[in-house]
Amino acid sequence: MSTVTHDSKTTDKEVFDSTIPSSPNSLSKHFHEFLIKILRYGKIPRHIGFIMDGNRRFARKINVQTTEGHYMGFLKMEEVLDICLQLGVKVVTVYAFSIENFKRPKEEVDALMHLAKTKLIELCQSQTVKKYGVCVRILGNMSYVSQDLREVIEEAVEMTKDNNRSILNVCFSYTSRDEITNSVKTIVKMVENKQIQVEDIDENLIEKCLFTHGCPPLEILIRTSGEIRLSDFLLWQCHQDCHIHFENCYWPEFSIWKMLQIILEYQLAN
Amino acid sequence: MLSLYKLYLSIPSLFLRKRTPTCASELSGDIKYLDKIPKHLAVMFWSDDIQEERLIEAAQLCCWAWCFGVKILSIYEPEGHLKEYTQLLQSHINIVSRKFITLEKILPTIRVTSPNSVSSPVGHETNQSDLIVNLISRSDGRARIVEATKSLTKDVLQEKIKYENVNIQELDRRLRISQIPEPQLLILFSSIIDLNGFPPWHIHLTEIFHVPINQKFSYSVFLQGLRKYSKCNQRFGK
Repeated sequence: MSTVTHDSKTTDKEVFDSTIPSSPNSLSKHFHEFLIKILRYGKIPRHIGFIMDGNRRFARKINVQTTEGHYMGFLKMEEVLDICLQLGVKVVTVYAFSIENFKRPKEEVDALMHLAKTKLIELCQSQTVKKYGVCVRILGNMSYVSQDLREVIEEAVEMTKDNNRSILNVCFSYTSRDEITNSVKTIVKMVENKQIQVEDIDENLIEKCLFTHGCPPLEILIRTSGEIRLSDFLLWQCHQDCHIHFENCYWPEFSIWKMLQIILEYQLAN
Repeated sequence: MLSLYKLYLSIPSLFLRKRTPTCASELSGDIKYLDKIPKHLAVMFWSDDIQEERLIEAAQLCCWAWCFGVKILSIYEPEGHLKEYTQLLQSHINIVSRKFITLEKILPTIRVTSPNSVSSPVGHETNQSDLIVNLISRSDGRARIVEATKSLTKDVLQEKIKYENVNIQELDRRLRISQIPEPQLLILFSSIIDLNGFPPWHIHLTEIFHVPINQKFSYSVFLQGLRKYSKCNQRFGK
């Protein structure tokens, strides 16, 4: 499920270009843009979530190192973010790293943390973020994250905090149960401090105290890799009026075609 | 355009039809190929209104679930109407199971209950039933989290629990529906997956199964769901 990535060795780019069909040449790029323009005439979901699963299994499938799989996953995230924003989606929330993922082998976790550090800033400076005025937020429990990475996260968040046209939520060191518990604790504190009464506690208040506060309701949730569970992601947010899709491909294989098909299904159902 | 698309989707289902079993012995062939069975199976109710026919289907489902070794079957119906038919469903189960389960000497005890009913399955009662049928609704979802938050807040104010001890485990303990753990598998008999208010806390690792092409309540979807679950391998983050 982790996307965050890699110190850029020269081989990464080559591997990426040779294995992933979707680095678009200009003709197919124009064709994609054309399709997106058509879809924009229909209803567009305001908030989409992604469980970016299958980077490691994809790496194994094409015989490259795990970290390279994560690097491809990162590139795919940038690509999908761009498609979403072209479509007019306002908020994209991605599951980059779960609290449970800290249980993985130390070298893999260390590599992922290192890559997060290098890629996060890069992401905030990217063309896509500038072009669509993306405010990048990191959602998760920062008490599990090392001090130096926390500083990088703060720096990254600071860079884009004034962007107000769209939002990218990167769930990092996140689980939904942890998020809900955090919201509950915030509310308990508010009552203790006499800011509110016990009677004021309702669904709205819990929602306002979640990391995703202020975001429009989640309307589509996509998980790749063929797994058919939520793995503790956005449980509160996807509980109703949200189309959940389990896609049978690894995250680096996820393509604009699958994306457009999902949007089309959403439009037909609405 | 929508109907054309649906027609296209329905083509493969023509080849997948499997007859609804009328007797428990017809299931044995399907059961032996499954490596694992969910102890707690949840099912999304397959209709907006509750008619006699739907209740008979629910009773059939209970019999299938019992035959496969499921211990708890939760049926989720958002509006809570199904809970009003607890007694009627129970009597349908009694009738259907007598016809369906013919080879057993003693009929299994299949007991219907719901989280708010007086006879919630706690302690010894749970152990006595061979299958608990648990009727849940939207009010067991987000609303329960709100209630748990209120009770926790009161307990913190009254110093029954320390603020530092408010954590996932504590919340999980308070959110348990009638002492029942979360389901391992949720089956939907619908073309799209919309959880429709299903208790959010309780499906954090649940496998969610549906068949896009087969939109009706059927034994075939039930069986495919169990087969898929049997093959699933959870990594728990690793």
